[in-house]
Amino acid sequence: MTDVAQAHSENGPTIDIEGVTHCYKKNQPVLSEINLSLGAGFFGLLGANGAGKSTLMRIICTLLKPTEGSAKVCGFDVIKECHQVRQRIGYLPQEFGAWRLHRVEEVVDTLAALSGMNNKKERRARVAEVLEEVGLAEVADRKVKKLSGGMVRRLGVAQAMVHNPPVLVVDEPTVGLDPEERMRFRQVMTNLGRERTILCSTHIVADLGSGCSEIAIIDDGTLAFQGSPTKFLTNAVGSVFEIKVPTESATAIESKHEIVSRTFDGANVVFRVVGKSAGEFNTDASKVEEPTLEEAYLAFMAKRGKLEQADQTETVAEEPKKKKRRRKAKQD
Amino acid sequence: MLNIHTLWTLAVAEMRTCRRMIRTWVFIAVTFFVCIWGYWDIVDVIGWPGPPRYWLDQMTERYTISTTMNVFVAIFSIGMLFLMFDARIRDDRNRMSDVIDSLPASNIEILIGRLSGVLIFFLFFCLLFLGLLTGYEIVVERVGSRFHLGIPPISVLSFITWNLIPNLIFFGALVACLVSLVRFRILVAAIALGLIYGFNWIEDYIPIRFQESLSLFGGSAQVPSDLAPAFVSPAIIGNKCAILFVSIALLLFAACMFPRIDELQRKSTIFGIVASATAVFIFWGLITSVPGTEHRQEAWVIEHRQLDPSSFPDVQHLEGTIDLRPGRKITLDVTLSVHKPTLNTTDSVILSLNPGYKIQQLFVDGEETTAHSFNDGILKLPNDLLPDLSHDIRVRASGKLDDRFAYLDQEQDFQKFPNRAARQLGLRNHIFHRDYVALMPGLIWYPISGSVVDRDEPEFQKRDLFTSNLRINVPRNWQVATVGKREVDESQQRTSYQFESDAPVPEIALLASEFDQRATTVEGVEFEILFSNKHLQNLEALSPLTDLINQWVAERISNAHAASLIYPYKAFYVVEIPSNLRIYGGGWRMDTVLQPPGMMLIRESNFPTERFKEVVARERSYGWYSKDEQDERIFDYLLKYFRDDGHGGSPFVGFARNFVSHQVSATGRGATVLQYLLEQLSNQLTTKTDSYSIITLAEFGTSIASVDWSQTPEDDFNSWAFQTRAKLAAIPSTWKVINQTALFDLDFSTEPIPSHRTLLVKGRALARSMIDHYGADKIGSFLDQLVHDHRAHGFTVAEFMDVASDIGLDLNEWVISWLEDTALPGYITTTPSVSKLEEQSEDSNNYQTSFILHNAEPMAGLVRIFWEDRRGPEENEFRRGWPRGAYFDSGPLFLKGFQSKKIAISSVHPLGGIWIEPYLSHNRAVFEVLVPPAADSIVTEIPVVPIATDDDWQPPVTDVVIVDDLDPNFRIVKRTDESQVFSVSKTLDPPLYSGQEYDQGLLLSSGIRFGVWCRLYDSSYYGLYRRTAVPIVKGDQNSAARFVANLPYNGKWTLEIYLPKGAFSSIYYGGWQEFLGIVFDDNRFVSRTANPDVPEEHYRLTIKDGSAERNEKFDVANATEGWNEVRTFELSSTEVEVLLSAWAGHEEIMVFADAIRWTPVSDTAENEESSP
Ligand SMILES: Nc1ncnc2c1ncn2[C@@H]1O[C@H](COP(=O)(O)OP(=O)(O)OP(=O)(O)O)[C@@H](O)[C@H]1O
Ligand SMILES: [Mg+2]
Repeated sequence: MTDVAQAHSENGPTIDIEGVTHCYKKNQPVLSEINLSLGAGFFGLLGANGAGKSTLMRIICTLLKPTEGSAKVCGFDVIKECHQVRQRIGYLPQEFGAWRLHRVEEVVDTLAALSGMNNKKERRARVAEVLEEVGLAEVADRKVKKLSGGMVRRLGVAQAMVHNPPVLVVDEPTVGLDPEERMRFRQVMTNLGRERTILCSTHIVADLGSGCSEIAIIDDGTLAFQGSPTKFLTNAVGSVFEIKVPTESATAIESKHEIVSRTFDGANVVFRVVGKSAGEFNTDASKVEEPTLEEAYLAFMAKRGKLEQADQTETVAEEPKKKKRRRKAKQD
Repeated sequence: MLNIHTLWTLAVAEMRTCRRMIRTWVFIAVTFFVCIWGYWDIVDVIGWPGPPRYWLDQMTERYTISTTMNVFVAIFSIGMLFLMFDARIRDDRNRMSDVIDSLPASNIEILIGRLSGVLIFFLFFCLLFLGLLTGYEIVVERVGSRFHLGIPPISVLSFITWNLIPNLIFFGALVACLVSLVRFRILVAAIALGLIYGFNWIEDYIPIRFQESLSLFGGSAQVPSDLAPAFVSPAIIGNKCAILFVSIALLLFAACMFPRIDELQRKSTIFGIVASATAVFIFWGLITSVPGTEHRQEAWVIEHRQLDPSSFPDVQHLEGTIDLRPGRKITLDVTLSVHKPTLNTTDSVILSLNPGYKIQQLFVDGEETTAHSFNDGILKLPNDLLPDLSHDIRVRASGKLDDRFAYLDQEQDFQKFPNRAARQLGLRNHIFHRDYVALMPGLIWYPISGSVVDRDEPEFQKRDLFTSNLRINVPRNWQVATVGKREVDESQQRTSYQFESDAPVPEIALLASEFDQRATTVEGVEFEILFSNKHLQNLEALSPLTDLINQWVAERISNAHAASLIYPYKAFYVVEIPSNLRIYGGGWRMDTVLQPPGMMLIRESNFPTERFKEVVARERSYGWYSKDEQDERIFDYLLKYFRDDGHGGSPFVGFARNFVSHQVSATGRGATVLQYLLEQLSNQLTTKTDSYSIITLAEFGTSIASVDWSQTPEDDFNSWAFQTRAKLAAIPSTWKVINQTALFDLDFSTEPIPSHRTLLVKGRALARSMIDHYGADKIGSFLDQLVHDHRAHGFTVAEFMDVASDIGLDLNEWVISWLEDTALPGYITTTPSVSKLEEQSEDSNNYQTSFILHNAEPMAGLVRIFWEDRRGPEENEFRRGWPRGAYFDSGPLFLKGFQSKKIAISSVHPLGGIWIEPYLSHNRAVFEVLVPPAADSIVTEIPVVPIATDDDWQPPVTDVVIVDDLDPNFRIVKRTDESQVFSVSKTLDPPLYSGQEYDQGLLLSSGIRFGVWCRLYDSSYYGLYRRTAVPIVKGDQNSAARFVANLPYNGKWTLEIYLPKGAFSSIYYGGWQEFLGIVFDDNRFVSRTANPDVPEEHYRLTIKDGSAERNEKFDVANATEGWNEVRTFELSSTEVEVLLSAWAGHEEIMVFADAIRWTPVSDTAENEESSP
């Protein structure tokens, strides 16, 4: 708790990234010259698959040494003072599994203890509380190997926040969660974001919700945008248009334009498409004055020619992942 | 640096993982099974008391846990390995590593935490196992079953503290380091397993002196003891600290190499280097301290060797007080009555005393003096202080003995061998423990005359004999044993004992502890048994036999009495000693130290802790024996046990030394031999058994070559001691010395082992021969006279001979030749003829077998003849190899040089065999006289004749020339493909196993070998004294056996070749191969006899006389056992060479080089010779 207070009281940014470049292979930067500075609040880190979000987060969480540049968390360097940094962060990796043979409660308790929660009584209470928050209270006694994918994900969230870290780094926390859970998650994050820094990567903009105080978009390893969602939305005004066409001619539109969303209105389909001006559409197009965050993001990506990769439907590469897991299971 | 909370959390998590993994439980189950099986295996072996079981590699089964449980440690280390080797990969697989890596724990914390988890988890099971085992032991002990080991708790504790925990930590750290270093877990496992195996393997090669400091698995209980238990020693602490530092270093290095960002990386590296440096430093210190001690000892030896024996006084009497504060201090106040050296060429008189003492005051004839010096254990007094012949030198000194100052001149340092068995002989030279004091004479705990080196070479330095009267003060309730009868004075807080001995002694040992004391008086001699009160179970179990034992002892004493020998020290103490006390001495002989005057020391690991209770219970359960018979049988068992005793604590070894050899000392030429002969004579007279001490035999040489010694029909045929002795007598290297060097010419100090073996073999045979030839009475009174005339003084060979002739013993007859000459008798026999009674009956003699026994050498000697009266042919078909009939023997037969005796053996049944057992002769071992299967004549009466009668048979003189494989000119010759000339190779065939002996230049073997000519014994082989042959199988054309004959004249000679039975039977080649320490039987080759239908399968012979060379094939397939004619040759030279090729047409055909015979062909017989 003191850490939280401390983080608050500090005026400087809690996460401060300066000129970070990272190459997994020589001269093929995955991140190049990223400068990012975050204070308290809920930050969304957006970007297409492979943009470098996870890489950046791993650097922040002291797991990767940036090839160049430096990163600081609460004023501590992630390399030279990694111990201090680690004391102040909670991290949910993109791929989180937990010890398969341990029970949910045990995992959270162990990790809480390792994060410095020494008081057993307090810890117990906190673990119970967190499990309640993420909706795992009922399966607290279950072994990790018997959890569903979404439950594991929630367990990941629980372990990341159990010790109330001033900085919470969550990498695609909502993958695999059902809508109800997503909602709950957003709520939790919004609450947490009031008093600490939360960096949440996702490519599903909707998940950021209303609690999001700032977003950053990484594209091709560079910071393409940083600012408040409002600013982002404002930027998007004039780029999103609404077209209403009969169902028959929908295919023509689909093939010609970059579609952000479609809704069915009786015999018509209402498309929201990305464009430069209303004039470029053959049919009636109206400028959308209040695009959603999602639409804004898609428009943003579409401008950069990456609409495909910014797909917002939630079927993200589940297939290959499963395959991979099965293979690993065999090795057990 | 380390957060305990973090460590504990990690450990708990790791334990949880371990607990929930199936492999853990599989592993624990396997471990439990293996350990219980191992335990049970030993329980089963040690159920019964018996000779020392060296193969168990430990002092006693009771301490098994601390030494053989290395397996246990190894298994658990492997277990740790398999739990830890994939810890990180498991995290990766569980996709947990990122979370863990972003936690605030440092690398070293993570490593240590998880290692402790696994460690605690395993330790729990180890402790559980040990706990269960201990519980089982306690229960079973209470119940009284023999199925337990009686493991003392201290041993378990020592095992856990010094062996289990340090090793689990070490191997854990090793695995952790490997995991960080090597990415592939299979490789990690392989390397770690290799290292665990390697460390266990190395353990066998660490010399004993370094074991405590370098061994991974060593414990304080290297040589454990109940009497003087030692839990820690500086070396063990050092060793464990060093191992701990190594483990820490490994962990720190593992932390550095851990693939995770860690700000402590540099620190870890530095600390790791510091830790390894510390470990290296400690090890270095431990290692160098050993040579440090050795250098000290060498320096002492040099100092003492420089002393001139002419400056050594003659101590007459030792008197005074010894105050013992066990574990703290010894205070001496003793007075030596000395005769000053008469021919002193130096300006000082030399005494020695352990340098651990501080001399406080020194008085000469009551006057205090400071003119002395005391350095390096040498107490030097100016000559002027001792103007007269007799003086009293009083020494007041106190201190603790320096354990290093003992046995300085030992011939070999067993501690330099890696042979772990040798440490069972004890590592401490003396014991000065809170609970036990053993002051051995070798430490010079009281002042002695002269130097401490070369004291067992009476040729150069006379043994100093003296009488004694000592008062010994010890803590209350303590008992003391030393020489002489004691008086107790228990007036004050401490107990005081007075020991007085009028009979002279060469040395004094002092043992003291809170013994349990049992005393009896037998034939005027007081026998006291002083055992630890922890080890009374055998005394109790055997107490019903007290009468029998007393009777037996009385018999030995009266044996001695009958032979005019008197036990001189009035009291005899049988004292239990801690097993960590070294039991062998120094000098060239490194004799047992368990037999000091007036005492017999028994190691706690021997009789005191054996389980005679089981023997008693077993015998008592045999209801068909009467109570007396049962007692008799138990007593027999006890005697056998002591006879086979391998640690020297046997009454057969040293009791008799008190009668003669402790009281007189031979000097001058042959002194060592005479002294040994006296010991042998008195021993055989009193105990009627050979003395046998393991030290002087098996251990003195590192190993006894394994030779195929002929079997003898003696009753203690299976006795271990007997086997060892028989082997010793059969070793060709011993025989080489016997044949080359007379006993009196043996050089013990430069060639101790062969000389000593020669002494043991020949000296023992001579003593036996003397007693059997002259009679026990005569020899007894001779010894008595010798003691009487020369008590406490020296005697020379001449004086020895004089004493003998005074009592009518003519030792010049042959005994002196045995001592001064190398000649020995050699016996040959004629083929027995058997006559059979026409009408047979079961209760009288039906057969008579007679033959001539001839001593074909000029030297006289004794033999015994054994024979077996076979019961009937039906039985022995079934029970081949078993004793089938009754055995008889002729008693000793004395044959002068070239004398013959006609032997006539009457028997009820046909004889199953006749064996001649020479006491010592060129025949070397017992040899069998082959009895013809059928009777030669049917008679109507079996004459009653003595077994042996003089006969004037002499071997027939002929021109026949026989060349045997033992002929000095017999050689194996080889040729190279280029030279095509056979020549004797300069290098010998390398031994096939270590310790294999050469017999006249050829490897001695118990079986035929591939491609190597080896010498074998068998009674079916041809030989004059020794029946040997040199066979080969799978030989080649380039190797041959060469028989060279010098014929009396040239002309026509017939060549015959001797084929033993073995040449006609196929054999398995039973070899073995070793791969990674595992021995495989290797029966891949079967030899066979030649096929008569294959003309190539013939022996190839080459006969060379002068310049002519003839190649000859000998049809072995159609030959018969015995002599076979090859052909008649017209020889142009008297020197003829016969080469027998190792190749006989096929590699599977054996070639036997045994003997050839040249017989001249007279002209008249010429016509009969038909050449093809
Ligand atoms: N360990 C690695 N070694 C080499 N290349 C890597 C490694 N991890 C990631 N990359 C590459 O770096 C780039 C950025 O990957 P990163 O995981 O940071 O993307 P991301 O933005 O998190 O994508 P996603 O939304 O799919 O999670 C990708 O091109 C990826 O292929
Ligand atoms: Mg990612």
